[in-house]
Amino acid sequence: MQMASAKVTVDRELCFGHGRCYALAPRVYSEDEGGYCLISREVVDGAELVEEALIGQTNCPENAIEVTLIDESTLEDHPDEA
Amino acid sequence: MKPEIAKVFDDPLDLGHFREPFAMETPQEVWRAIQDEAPYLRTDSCITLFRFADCAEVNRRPEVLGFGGALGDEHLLGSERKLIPEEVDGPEHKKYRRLLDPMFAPRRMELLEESVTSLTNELIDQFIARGEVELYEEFCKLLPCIAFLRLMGLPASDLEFFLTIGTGIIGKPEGDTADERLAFQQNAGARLARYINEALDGLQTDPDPPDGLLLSLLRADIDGVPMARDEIIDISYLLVLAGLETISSALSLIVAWLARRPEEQAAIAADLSLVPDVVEELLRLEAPTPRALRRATTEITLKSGITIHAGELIQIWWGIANVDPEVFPEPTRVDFHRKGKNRHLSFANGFHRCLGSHLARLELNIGLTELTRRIPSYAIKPGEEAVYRAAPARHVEYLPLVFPTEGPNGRQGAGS
Repeated sequence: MQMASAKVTVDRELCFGHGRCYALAPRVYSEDEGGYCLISREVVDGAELVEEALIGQTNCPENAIEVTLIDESTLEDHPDEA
Repeated sequence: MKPEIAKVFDDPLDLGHFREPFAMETPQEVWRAIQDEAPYLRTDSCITLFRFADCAEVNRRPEVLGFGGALGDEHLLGSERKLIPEEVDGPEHKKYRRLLDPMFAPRRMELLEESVTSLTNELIDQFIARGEVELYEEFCKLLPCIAFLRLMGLPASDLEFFLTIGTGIIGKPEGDTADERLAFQQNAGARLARYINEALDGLQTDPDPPDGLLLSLLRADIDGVPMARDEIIDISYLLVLAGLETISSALSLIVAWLARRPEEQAAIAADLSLVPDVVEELLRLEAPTPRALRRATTEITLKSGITIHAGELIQIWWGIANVDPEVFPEPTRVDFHRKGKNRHLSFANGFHRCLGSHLARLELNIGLTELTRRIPSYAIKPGEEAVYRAAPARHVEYLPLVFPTEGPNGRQGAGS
């Protein structure tokens, strides 16, 4: 079965503390003392967490978050013995 | 563009013009039409931006000043000095935000949850047995005010004073001309500044001062230097204004929208976990603070190709940006499941993102949750109409509701 993964980054210069990401996707994002975004998981594994990461991204009014899907096939150390 | 609407964009500094054209139940269709007509509008006095991408970009540009730069020597809402942080920019603005952001961060606001919930229920207790209420006066107007007094550490007995000030400064500045309305605002503003000054005096001489934001500000320092009394007053002044009328306005718009839609009410009543999404979607659509002013310090070319001249006044319409089909599919349709993508600008964005946005969300979520829990179905009183006002914050100043009263089982009776 295909296992989705993604890399999550935030541009802290673009984050203005709306707090949408960690409110809607608390397993992927968290907050600093001022309420600005911190990434809890830089790489998320599994469709559910990838979906959460994307919800954080698409609800950011500043477009400060980037979620890059990782193509599993290029990462495989050993190909499936199918 | 209809002349009365074009006038709003042509003379952005006169709030008088701004009052009526959008004092309607559903301005969103008009906003959409304006956006279709042109991506922006340039007049002698300013450039007005309508598209989401342009509005959002401008607010993130350090060469663009907020209200302070836009207004010059004039100040918002009758203040004699610059309001902090809304009217300061650059490093000075950053300095204040570093101090204030933690005081208004979500985790700090969550500490208020219990007390705001019980205050909300105390308000509902006052009218629930009656089966009808004018919700603006008896709920929307009061909730943010009471919550704010609690947050600041000011006595609840000062409620009446704050209600008068809120009305005088933001709500309904009286007067037929712009000058008269300004004078009215200035008078209310001076009284507020005096009140805050006295409250600070009180805290300084009190051996056991009440905890709250005002005390935090009094004890705070910026880079080791305590703030001057004027600075604390200017910050408190803005907090008082921002914490009252804007949240009342948002609450009234949200409930008024739902009051006409029994099916949506039922859906929310059946699943109160929907409330945060409902609040976000209606904040997007209703945009209680529909616009803001900015000023460019240098010539700026936006990614879209629009060039803003050096020194030009910029008018930004959050309300119009929020119905941009580039960002929101079927933008005038209300969709509570827009959660996958609702990056609305109702709390502004960029450097001047609303400091109180997390407080507002807390109050709106609790307000709608408790109202729905106690009164799952309600409607505009037959024969009456909700009265919308456009300025300075869009709100429903008259919101007559009727609802079934509690039956013998302690629940809503017939009709629920």
